[in-house]
Amino acid sequence: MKAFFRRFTLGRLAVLIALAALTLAVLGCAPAPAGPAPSSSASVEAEGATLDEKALVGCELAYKIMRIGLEVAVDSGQLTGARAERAIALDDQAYSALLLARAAFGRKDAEGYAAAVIGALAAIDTAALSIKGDPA
Amino acid sequence: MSLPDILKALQAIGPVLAAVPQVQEVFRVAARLLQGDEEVEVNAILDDLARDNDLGHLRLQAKLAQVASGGAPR
Repeated sequence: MKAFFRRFTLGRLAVLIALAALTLAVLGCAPAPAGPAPSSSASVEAEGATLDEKALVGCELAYKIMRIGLEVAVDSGQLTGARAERAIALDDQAYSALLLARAAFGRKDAEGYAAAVIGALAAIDTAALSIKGDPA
Repeated sequence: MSLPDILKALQAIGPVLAAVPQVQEVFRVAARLLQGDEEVEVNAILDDLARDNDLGHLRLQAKLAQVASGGAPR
């Protein structure tokens, strides 16, 4: 599996997808994509797993943009009532998924990390849709 | 994606969100990472982001709960 890992893998892909697609989705400027292209690879450079922390940074950045978007929507009065209630659950799911990615990174669990990063980005994407009012 | 693409994305997200300093910082961080700046201390960025997101999550949840129950955001 390590033979397939490259430096420009999940790390930069996560950052690019997180910023390009999810940022636009947060503001409703474009439909959110189905999610990041599944990639089970994480950059493991050596036995003992030096995981690509940039993938986790991508998740953190994506979550940050999403939650700022939600907060702006709340502050401007666009997100209220039942939609706000739904956003609570979706934000919580996104945050929990982010925590899983952090935990997998901390455990140096390469396989779990890749899956957790993908799961986190998907959950963040779903939460971002709640701003537009799209069913997730 | 290149740095100009990031700038275009920043413009595309709308003036309200683009004007938020935190969002601009997100793009600056991403740009530095994409540039492969060897001086970028990724772990330090990660720690700062994690702390910020932890606090931000709590703040967001509180605001959402407030408006979901019919109140005004604080």
